Amino acid sequence: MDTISTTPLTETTFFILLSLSPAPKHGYAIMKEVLALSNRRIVFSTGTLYGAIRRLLEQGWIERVNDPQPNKTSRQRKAYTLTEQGRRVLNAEVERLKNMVDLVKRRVVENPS
Amino acid sequence: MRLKPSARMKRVSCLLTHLYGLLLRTYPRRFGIEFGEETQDVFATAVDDAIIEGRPPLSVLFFRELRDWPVALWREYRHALEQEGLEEVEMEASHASNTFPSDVPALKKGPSPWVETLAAMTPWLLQPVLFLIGLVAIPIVDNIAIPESIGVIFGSLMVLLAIAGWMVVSGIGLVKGFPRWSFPYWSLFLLSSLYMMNAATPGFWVFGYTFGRGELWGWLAWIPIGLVVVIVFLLLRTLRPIRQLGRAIWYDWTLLSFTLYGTLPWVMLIVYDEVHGEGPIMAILMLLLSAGTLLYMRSIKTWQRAFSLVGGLSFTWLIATFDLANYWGGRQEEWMSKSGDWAETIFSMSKAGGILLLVLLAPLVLGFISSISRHKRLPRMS
Repeated sequence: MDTISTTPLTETTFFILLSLSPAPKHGYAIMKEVLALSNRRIVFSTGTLYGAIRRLLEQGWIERVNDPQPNKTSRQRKAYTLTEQGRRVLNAEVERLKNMVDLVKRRVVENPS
Repeated sequence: MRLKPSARMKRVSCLLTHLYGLLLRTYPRRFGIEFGEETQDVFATAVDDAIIEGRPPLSVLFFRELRDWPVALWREYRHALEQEGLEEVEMEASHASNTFPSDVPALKKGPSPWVETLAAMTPWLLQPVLFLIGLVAIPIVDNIAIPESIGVIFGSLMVLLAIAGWMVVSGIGLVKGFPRWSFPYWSLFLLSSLYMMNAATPGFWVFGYTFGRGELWGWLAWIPIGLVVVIVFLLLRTLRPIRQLGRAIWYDWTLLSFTLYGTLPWVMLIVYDEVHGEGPIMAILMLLLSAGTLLYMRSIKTWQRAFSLVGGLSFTWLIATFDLANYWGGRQEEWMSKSGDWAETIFSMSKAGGILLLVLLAPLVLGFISSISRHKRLPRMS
């Protein structure tokens, strides 16, 4: 599948991929990171979050890894990280959003109200 | 305001996590296996953090989960259905399109095992067995003075036991993905529920409640079926049995005919309404219908199955026609404007029998469409 030509990402997908871009994270950390990145605008329930994670795993944009930090019960926790394909999709989306912002800026410069 | 979690709040945390675990059990099985433990951990961590922040964040957290639960459930079951559909397509692509899929219980090759055959015949064998029991038990019971209240409770318990038994057998059929023997159980179950909506059972006692005179069952009649469906789906957490039902009927139209054949005990009861002393003849007719079921379950080819059902219905209906003509010929009850006529009874029964036969064979149209559709998928010879 040509990931660069995929349709614009949903906010949910975009923020999850963005939260995973610096380092792998487990589910709760993704929830907290997305909450912070979106200025508390996007609050996931566990059902919504894991539905999205399931979809991203199937698309091959993220993959599971072992979380280096165990949880409170010392059980090995699962974390998620971007795959190469996921990183390309995220970069393509960032590029698309940059192009849109540049277009708006040029428009405002040409036609200041 | 950040609070230290008190012992009470820790109990609340345990309760909420436990309730969340129950919600998780409603998700599809595959989702539960893959993400169940993880989502429960995440929820527990979120609850612990919310407790530290105070009561409002905790309430918000819980109600957010509750609010999103139906949408998430719908999404995951739809996805599970799509996945199962894709797997079925892959499986069917690896078979020739004129063979039956091997993963559908109702489409197993060869005659049905004798145990399953007997299970399929049971709905028709019940009346003869009860009739024989009645022949022995009624004279004994008539000679014993039983208080009316005990009689009512005993009778109600017997009926509840029968309903529970039917629920268990139907539930087993649903769990096993609608094997061939289960089809008449479900048709009788559905028809009985439909009938009972407009039926009254004055004096019937169930879990401390006694039905009044003229009090119809209404929506309560659907509780047994509803319970079976809900319990089975909570246990299985997949819609696979429904898919297997659809595929079974698509590949073998006689299953739909067999489902309709399963309603014939009710039809016989209606036909023999207002007939006195009908016990022996009803027992004989039910045995004849069960013979049709026996042949159906032991048949291998589609035409054999169709022939079994048509033969069972035709022969039984012929006997019933002549028996009723003989009963009503020259007889006039209080509610009749004129005495019964032999020829008129034969004519009415023949008309009804013809309609029943058409209804029984109507699924043949579906079989025809399915057959064309499957043959179109056969690879063309170059």
